[in-house]
Amino acid sequence: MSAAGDTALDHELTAIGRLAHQFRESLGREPDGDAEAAVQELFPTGAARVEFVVRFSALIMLSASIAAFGLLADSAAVVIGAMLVAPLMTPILATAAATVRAHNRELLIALLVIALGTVLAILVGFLTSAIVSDAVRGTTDLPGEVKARTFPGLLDLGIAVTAGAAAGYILPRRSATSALPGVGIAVALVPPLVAVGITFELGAGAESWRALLLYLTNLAAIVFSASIMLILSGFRPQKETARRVLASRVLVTLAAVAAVAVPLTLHTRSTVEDTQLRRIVTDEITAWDPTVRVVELTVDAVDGEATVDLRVAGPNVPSEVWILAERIRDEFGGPVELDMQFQQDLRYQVSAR
Amino acid sequence: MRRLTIAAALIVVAAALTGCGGEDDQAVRPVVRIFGPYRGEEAAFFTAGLEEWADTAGIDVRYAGSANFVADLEYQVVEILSPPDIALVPQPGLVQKMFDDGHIVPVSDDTAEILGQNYDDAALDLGRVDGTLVGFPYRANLKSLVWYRPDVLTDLSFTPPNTMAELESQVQLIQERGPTPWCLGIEAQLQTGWPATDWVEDLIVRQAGPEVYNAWVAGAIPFSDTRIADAFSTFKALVLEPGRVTGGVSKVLSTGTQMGDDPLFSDPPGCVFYKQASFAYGWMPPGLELGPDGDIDFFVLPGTEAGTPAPVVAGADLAVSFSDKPEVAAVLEHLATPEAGRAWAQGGSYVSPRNDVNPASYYSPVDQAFAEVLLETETLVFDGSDAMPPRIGTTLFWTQITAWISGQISYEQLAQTLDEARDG
Repeated sequence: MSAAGDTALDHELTAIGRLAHQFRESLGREPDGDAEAAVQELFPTGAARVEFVVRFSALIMLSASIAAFGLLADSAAVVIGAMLVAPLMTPILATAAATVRAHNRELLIALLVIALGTVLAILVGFLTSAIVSDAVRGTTDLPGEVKARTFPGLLDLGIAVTAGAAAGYILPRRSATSALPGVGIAVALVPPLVAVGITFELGAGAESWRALLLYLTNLAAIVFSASIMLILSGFRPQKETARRVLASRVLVTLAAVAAVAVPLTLHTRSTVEDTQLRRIVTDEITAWDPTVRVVELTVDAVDGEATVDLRVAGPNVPSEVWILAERIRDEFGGPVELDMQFQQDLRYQVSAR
Repeated sequence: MRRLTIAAALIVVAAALTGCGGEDDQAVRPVVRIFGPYRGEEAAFFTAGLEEWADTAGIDVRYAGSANFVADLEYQVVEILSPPDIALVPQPGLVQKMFDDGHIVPVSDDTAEILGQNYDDAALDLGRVDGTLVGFPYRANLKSLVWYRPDVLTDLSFTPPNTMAELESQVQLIQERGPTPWCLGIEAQLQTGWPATDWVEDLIVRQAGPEVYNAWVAGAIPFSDTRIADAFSTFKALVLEPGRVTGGVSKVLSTGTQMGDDPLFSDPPGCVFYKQASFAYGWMPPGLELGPDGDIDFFVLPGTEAGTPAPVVAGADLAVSFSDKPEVAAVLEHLATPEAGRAWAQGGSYVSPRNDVNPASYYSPVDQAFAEVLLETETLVFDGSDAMPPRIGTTLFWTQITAWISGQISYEQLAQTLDEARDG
């Protein structure tokens, strides 16, 4: 048995060694002229820079307006349209490129442009919501498209990391740029920002913060994974002194990703707990009384204690509600506070001749 | 390869053994089901007094509480004949009926001996039916308290009134200057109306005296008696007249009992006085400091004469059992000890009916204040509606007083319905 194991290990080491060799080789390769030019286009200079900022501002406001109306109208198609108009990918990729190139000035400019876009998009969301405030009355009837942006989780981090990697991979390869809009749709930078503005205007602080968290997640993760892809594509600081800075720069972006990952993990965990509790409640209701239908269910699991607000309907008035609470407690494994409202199905049959 | 097989087999055997062991542990732990009226924080305090002990005793205590406690307990005991092992019943009248009908198991001699060490005989009287000890008070509460915010009373240049007449004149002045004098909410699902019965009981014992009160509770004096009718009239004039209660009568009927105090804490205050039992502190905003310089304070609803302590109407939750299993007796015996109430006494609004607690170390400052009221009073009577037979006290009295407050029936109709039901 031990002999067989050793052979397998040797074999694996060879494979890993081969991979490492390939990796080292690819790192040594310098990007070609076309790739350099593609990246350089991210950094307009002189008059072109002013023109770029003006165009960027116009596009971000237009994109944010489309997103705001799409979100309030609860239209996924319109929101996707807004993502295609959004110009935020350019300064974000510029941030990644400036990071790996260790161009401090360009990095600062790119970050300022992102900040400008962020503020403008939130502002547009806020104003649009204020103007068409009749469409949404409060946090309870937020459109699904807005709500969807207020529940960030670890899956969103995964999407942003892979989409950022795709962006970093596509950027120096002009033949693949047709795929870039797909990246924009996958990570969707403008809709969460607009959702921040809308929810803030509606006075929903918690939702606002969570939408912002979703945006920051996307931002940090894209910059990080795009930077890694650019390094793998051979981009490096041109000056020898700057090369040493590179590692710390990449570490800073990694730290930013970790910083958003912490609240995201917490939020994901509480979402998972709530989802479990929700499943337990619906299962136990069926086992408790199969004639009862759930009309509305709100659950909250905090510190191992469950709060369940339930509206149900059915033909027979239930008599042993505490048994339902006991069943949920046994499955959930902690104290349960159940508040249940019951609506009886009443049938009226009349005739007039 | 053979070694691997042996190792795998060992793992399987080990897993099977530990698995079986776990199930065995579950199987030998007896389960004791307790049913009571406590929910939320009160339920947490109640179970906190049991958990540690139950763990050591190897008993699995399962508590369930319901807002429709009376109806739900009767359903389990009478309708489906599947009672809990232990119930905590605030209504001695219901306890008496369930004992008479043969559902409640009397307290065993061994348990009675332990009870004798922890309780005064007078306190145990609450759990006696025709001389038989069928239960004992686990928690006591004081119904006669009037809650107020010291800052609000100071702004009005008032001090807590010493007589009913003084209270009436303060209420009159508050009504003229604003805000509204009283807060009240009597909605409580199937138990709607009970806060109003408490109000009337406090007025009966003050205006007619404890003898008349006890005779009325026992059924010897009817609702139609003028001394009882007078208390209802006083309640209506003092509290229910337009301008005297927040939101008027319709709001009184629709406001949940535990929401009744909300206007007291609004800014500006929606009312000045809130008459409710000691346990109301538990549903007020958390962290309120109690005392004349604190956020909230109380006075006992005054008597008719100055200088003598006002009568106090008290309630108690009786622990009774429906089973003679040894583990059930063990839980009952623990409930009789001060330990069972300690967590609650230190965290919330709990008055111990036991005689061997040292107030200073046992209670939180809030509960110490309650315990002092109990010590000072010379006239202590039990909550009348809870002591009456359940078909009167915990159903008809509640619904009738609710209908009378809403104006659907006159007092004469209320008295006739209740007296006929009591005679019948």
